[in-house]
Amino acid sequence: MSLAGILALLVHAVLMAGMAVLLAGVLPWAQARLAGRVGPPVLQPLQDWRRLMRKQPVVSEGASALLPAAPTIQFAMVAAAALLVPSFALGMATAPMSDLLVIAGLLGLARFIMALAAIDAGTAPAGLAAIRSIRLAALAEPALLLVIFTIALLTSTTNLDAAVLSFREAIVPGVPLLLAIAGLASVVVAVEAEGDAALTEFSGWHAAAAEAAVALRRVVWLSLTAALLLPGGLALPGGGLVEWTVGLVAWVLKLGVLGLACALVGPSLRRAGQAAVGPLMGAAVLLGLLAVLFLFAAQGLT
Amino acid sequence: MVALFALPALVGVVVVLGLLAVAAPLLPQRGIPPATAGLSLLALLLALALVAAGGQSQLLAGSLAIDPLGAVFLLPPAVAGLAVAGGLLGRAAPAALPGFVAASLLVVLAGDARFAVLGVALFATASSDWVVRPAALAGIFLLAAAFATLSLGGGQSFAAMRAVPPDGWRATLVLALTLLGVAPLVGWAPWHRPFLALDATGLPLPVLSPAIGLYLCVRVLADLCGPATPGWWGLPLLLLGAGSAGAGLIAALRAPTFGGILAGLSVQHGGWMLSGLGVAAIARGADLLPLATLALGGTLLHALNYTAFASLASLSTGAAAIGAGSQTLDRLGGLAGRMPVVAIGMLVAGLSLAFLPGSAGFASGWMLLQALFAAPRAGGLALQLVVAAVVAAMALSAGFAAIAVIRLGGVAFLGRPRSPRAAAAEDASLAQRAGIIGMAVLCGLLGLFPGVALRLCGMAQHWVTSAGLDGQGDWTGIRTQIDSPGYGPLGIVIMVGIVLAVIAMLSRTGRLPAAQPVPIWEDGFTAPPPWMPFGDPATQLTPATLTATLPTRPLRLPSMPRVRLEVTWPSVTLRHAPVVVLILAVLLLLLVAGFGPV
Repeated sequence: MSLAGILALLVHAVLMAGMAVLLAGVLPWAQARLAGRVGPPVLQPLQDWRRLMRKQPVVSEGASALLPAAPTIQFAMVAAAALLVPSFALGMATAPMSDLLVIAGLLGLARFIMALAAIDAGTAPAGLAAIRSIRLAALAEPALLLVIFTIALLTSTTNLDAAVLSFREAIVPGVPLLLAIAGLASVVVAVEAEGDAALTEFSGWHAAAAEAAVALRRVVWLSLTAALLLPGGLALPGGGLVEWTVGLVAWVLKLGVLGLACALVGPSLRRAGQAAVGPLMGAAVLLGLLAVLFLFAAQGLT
Repeated sequence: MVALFALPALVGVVVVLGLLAVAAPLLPQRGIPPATAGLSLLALLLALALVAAGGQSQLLAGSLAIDPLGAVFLLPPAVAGLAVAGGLLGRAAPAALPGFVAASLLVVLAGDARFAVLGVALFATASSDWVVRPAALAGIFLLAAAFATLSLGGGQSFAAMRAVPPDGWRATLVLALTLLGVAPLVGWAPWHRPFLALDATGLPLPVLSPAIGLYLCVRVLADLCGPATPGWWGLPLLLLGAGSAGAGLIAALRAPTFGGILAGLSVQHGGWMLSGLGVAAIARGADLLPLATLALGGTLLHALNYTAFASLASLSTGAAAIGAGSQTLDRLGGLAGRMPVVAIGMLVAGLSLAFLPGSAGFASGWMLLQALFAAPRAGGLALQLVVAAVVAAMALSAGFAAIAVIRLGGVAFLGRPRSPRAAAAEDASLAQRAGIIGMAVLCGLLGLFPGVALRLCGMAQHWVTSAGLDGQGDWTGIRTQIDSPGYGPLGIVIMVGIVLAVIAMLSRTGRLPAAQPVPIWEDGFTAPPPWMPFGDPATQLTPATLTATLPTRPLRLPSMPRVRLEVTWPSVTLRHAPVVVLILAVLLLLLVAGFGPV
């Protein structure tokens, strides 16, 4: 664990938090502009959260200790995942831990805890939201694992940092990787378009924590996609200040493009409703499977 | 040296447990749990000593024997026996409980065909409270036939079988008979309705059956059939594993009771273990010893971990069912407030059952997935296609396991009570709570230090694959090769802990106000009538609605709903996108296949 790695991690943590706030404000603004409306101020979420932080939260009578604790746990899980996904530089202090299965698992755990909290609230709408949320998660998981399988076949590791490093250095992103990324993108879009379970069950600073977790999760998904799809620009381990600056600019650009794509597709998917999520996940699973099959067929040639 | 003393002591434990089971009708019923727990603890200590020291020993001219492989599989019966009997302290235990533990130990200690079949027969009958079911009978006969085929070469003792391993059609026959025989015994056959009997006998069958079934498969297929089994032997194991992972999960999603869900999940986790063994067999056939060691390590680790967290789940659901008077989900709800320790135990077990990170189940599941991910290296396109399908099935089962666990834990322990009896549930007894805390601590340790647990399996790995350990596990975590990054739960737990500590500090300093309980807001509906003191049940999620909206065929190819981009550019329709993707896939494959040898 080098000093540069720790420094990179600290800078990364600040950047992820800042980008989460920024995207949470920019996306609604961009969507409103595209629809021809003026849109809220870009820093509106920050204002909302600051107000919510001062308010006292209320919870259902008879709920267990899980309900008030859930937003905090969710935020901690997503934050841990955020510290594992590289943003501007590889070789952060957390690089040895940044396993793709762990990242997927941490995000899944956050969703699991929120679904339990929704059931704990004991109301019908929260319960329905929980069903939607876990159904989506259960369908997204196979697609995600197949994408990880493809990456493991290409790089023979599931460590995100090592995988991106080999993409950066040796492997040209070919058809299988593009297919896998398309699968990943479907997952990201579906997850992001879907509202979150039990978000309505929380008030006061609980609500702020839950919303912040959702905003941070968006940055995690987008950074993950960016690192795998467009690894160019990412500073290599041992890079200097120049590489870091290049990596930072590249990361902001990549997230801007991907975020805008989400802003474009999100509302239509939300309008298409629940019925669209299942088929989309089916397509994602197929894309992942296709990537794997293509890889096998291509290996058979050589 | 240790083995020389441990084997007679273990045989003594089995004999005393057997005597306890036979004499159970004459003994005071409350005396059975402490005696069983004490003997299981003794067996556990002996097994740990054996695992640490290694070595082998035999009794009665090899009829009873112990070796490093057997030593590892002594741990599951001992742990499960200790946990379940400990949780029953002070209560009347089912008479067959000591017999069940004794039979499981005997299966592992058997050193020749006769004792192995005897152990299996006792295991099958004790698990249904001494009733012989036709399915179990079929399983016993098939396994007996497998051992008979094995002993055609030299003799009935395992040493003789190992010296003259079967070949040709005889080896294939052994493979078929073993798989067919193990399946009904452990609930891996589709026509076998998994029974569990938290409701009737309280036997830890779903806790132990995957480990015992796996032991029989490893012993016969990887050990007794010699080191030169062909690689294709892994394929039926892989397919059976994927099939049972799916079938068990569907059973768990449909089951209306604790017992049914646990039984389904046991079949699912047994399937994960079997697929790991399949990868090990394939890798051994292809001379990829590091991969074989990895796959076998994941399999053994999952068997150990599963026993621990399934024991915990069994203890917690058992305590909840006893306290709330029912194990039907429709009658439960809100138990967390009445029995907090039990709820925490269920949460810890649930994390593992659903393969969520930080838990014991995730660690061994991670290793099994790594083995599956590496498996395509061991063969041609046919194998690779099978592996891809198996990975997809495993992924699906892991995703949906969370829903089964939410039904198991969430519906029963959270929310509002669904019956007056559940609202007045009594907390678990002191013995049950102590057992739950003990097993939860064990599960937590297994989740935090999977590398240490993997070390326990080291000698068994060496016994089967004859390959050295490549430093796959130490106290920091587990990895696939000595210098690869791997999975280190400690660092992740520390990271999550730091974030939690910061938030806790903020709320401690008064910056974040404490939550205030308020009546449930029913979206403006009228208050429930007085004869519904727990609110209108219709306003709360039910166990059935939780799975009612799940797609029955998750991978079907539906017509895509029309998705329009919001902008006024030419609209893009995604109708039939999955079909297009499929057609493209087939075309691509044809194109690639046409170009050269595959």
